[in-house]
Amino acid sequence: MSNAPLRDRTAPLGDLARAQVVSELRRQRPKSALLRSSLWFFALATACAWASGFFEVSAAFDGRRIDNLQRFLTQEVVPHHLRGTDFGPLELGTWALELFTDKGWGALLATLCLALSAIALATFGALVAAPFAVRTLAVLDPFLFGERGSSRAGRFARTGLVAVARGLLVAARAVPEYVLAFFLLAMLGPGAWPAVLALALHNAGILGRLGAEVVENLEPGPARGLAQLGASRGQILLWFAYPQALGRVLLYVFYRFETCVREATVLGLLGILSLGYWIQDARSRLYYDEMLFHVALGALLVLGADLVSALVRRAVRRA
Amino acid sequence: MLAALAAAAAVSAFALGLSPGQLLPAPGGVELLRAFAARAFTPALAWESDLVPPDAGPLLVSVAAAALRTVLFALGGMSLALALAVPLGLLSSASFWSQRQSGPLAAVALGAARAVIAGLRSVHELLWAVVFLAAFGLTPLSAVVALALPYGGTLAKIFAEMLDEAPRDAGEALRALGAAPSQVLALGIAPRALADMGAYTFYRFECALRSSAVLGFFGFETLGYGLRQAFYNLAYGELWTHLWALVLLVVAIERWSGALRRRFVA
Amino acid sequence: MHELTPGASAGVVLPRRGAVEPRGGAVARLDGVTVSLGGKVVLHGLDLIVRAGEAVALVGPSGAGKTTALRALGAALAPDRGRVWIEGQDVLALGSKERRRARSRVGFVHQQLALVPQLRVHQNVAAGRFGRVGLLSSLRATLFPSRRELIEMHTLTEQVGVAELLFRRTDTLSGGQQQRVAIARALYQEPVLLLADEPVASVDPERARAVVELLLALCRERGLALVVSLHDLDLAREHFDRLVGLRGGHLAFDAPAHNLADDHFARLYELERGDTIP
Repeated sequence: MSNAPLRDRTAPLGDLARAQVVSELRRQRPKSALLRSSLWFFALATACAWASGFFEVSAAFDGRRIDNLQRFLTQEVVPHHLRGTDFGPLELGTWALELFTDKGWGALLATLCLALSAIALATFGALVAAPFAVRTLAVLDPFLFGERGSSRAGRFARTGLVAVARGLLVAARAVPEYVLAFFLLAMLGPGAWPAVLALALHNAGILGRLGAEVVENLEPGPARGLAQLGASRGQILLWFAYPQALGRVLLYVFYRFETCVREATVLGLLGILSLGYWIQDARSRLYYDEMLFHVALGALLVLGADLVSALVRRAVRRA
Repeated sequence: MLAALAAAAAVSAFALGLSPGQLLPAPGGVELLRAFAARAFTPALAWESDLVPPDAGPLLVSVAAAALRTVLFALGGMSLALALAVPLGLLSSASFWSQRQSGPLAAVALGAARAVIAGLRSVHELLWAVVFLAAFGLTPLSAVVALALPYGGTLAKIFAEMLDEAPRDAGEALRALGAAPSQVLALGIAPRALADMGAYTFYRFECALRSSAVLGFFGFETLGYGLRQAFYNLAYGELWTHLWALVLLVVAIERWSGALRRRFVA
Repeated sequence: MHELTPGASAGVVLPRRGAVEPRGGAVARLDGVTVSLGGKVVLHGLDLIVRAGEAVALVGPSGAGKTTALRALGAALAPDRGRVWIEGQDVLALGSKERRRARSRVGFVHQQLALVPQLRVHQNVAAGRFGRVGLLSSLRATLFPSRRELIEMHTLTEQVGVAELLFRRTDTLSGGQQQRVAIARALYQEPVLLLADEPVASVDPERARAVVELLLALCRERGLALVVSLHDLDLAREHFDRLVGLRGGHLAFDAPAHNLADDHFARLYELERGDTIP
């Protein structure tokens, strides 16, 4: 563009000729086949999903279901022993307080403890696993000569190691916590470990993958300096990768903590003693009033964790 | 920060009574683990359990159908979530209101939108499902709505953040050339956040797939349903078939969104 | 030097809000405009008249208030005191709809260009007419431009030299190309006045001359008034008939280029003591 004439002084184009030029330009415009096909795929697939009748939208509003809903909203959500009586906020408060001291408080604490133990274990797991998934470290002479002069076998072993580490991290992330906990419960028997391990594994997969990416995207200058001094791979890890990546990884850790609290509540549905346990318990006895109480308690816990995690993340960002 | 986290975790572990000794498998756990692990790389290709109803089609067809249903639930939930998230996200973004007269009404509307979002987000999709199962009964729409509510809240929250963090220079320029507030927002600010919003939506779709699979544990016939069934039938080969199908589905979607992200998000 | 300064603002009696502009023939006019940003006064009662078809260079050291003066002329900011007229209308007295219309009569090429990088070039150019239409029409013009609009935009982009890029994404263009797109967007407004904020701030001298000449040629051809803020004094003296000097938010001089001696410029760029003129 630099040396192009400022203004085209050739004979002005007629409208017709110009329209042709424009449509030619438009035809040649760069467009992404990947993006277009993705958008079309999702639009069509969504339309098909709704149009196929798979969701049984009309069936959801037939008389029986509406009755069901009405009964649920007008009768079943009312605390059991208060049904049919003329109760005020005092009676409702007494009921809630009783439920809270009886079951809620303990379950609330247990849920929080599950989430804390799990996120700590996940962070530890990620710190151990992530270095193996960092491509920039998996070369013969990191940050300086790279793979220059390496043997084919060595190169193969290193890329293989990274591929295996990444594959394990992806697999840990791809299996939902709930499914993991379901298996672990059968293997380890009842207790807190299945929930803690399931949450920790899934989150270690996510944090490990993110951590490896953070290290790969770090400014390599300091690492080059260390390598120049003759630092080993382990020393580069300890004095470069960990300290530099820690801030960002901590942001992710506290972000995941919030999700851990959410998931810890739910894992109780499997029979682990968190809030979900009492939700499932109330549900199986058709005590929907109690069920909703515990759901609301879980919501409050998540809101609290959300707040704490946001505050801590802000502090980390400032630091 | 790390030390505080470790201390909190230690206290929690103590409170939960976690001890390494309990990590030893329960009676029968070792055999279970062995039987389970043995089939990891030899998933079943045909039914192995006698407990399968006689009218069931071939295993692979059944798994494919379950995978399809998993995708359908995720699509339904995500489309509804998007329909919820766009207006909610707009109402809860500071840039939407700052383009207009700021008054008590705007502050109230902004606060209300944010409260709705927090409420939707604070209940896990599986708990929404439990509530809807109680209120409606087992209908596919319960699963779709259960997915849509928390996902809609989360999408709305992130959309609002992205809109508020988008660079404002182009929007200011449009305002200076006479554009109305709605035009500034729609054509000056929103296009700058659109790629990030798309990438995030795609990521949530991946999460929705996982959640949709887990909904199978509650009776919806997604991959989780067959998984649980196979587990109860002690048919570990079948179980691995379902598990592999789920992992492949999630990894494929992740690859797809990764390719798009690399291309469009800086 | 001070004899060149018309009416120091202190004694001027401001006309009533919404009053008819005192003197005709001006496309835009600042009357005793005072602007403070972030608690700091950046313009002190500035008077400036821009007449139809004239080319004005706004010079002065950085921080002198050049950008603020341009934004005031384009009704892009509300002054603390004083009046802004565009085409004889007091923009402070206008309703929001008429104010939008008044803004759309002034094209503004921002220093940072302020294009939407994710949109295609024609979509950015189309934004020039947003001041005249509602949301739906502007969405239509952005997503489904008509044949007539495309022909018009192609003609304009051809005049600034980026016609073949009409359908490219704006962020794939070089800085110089994007600047031309920004000029095309401003011209697409069909303005009476074109404002350009430091259009040569980040280009090499050869390219700077070309950009200034392009702006002058485009405006002369259309009979547009042009106000350009410039760091480069030589460029300003060489190409513009009228030079306005700003310093510390005050008017330092406003005179034909040939009336100004080197001395004026030397003083303009003297180190400032505080915010006041010595």
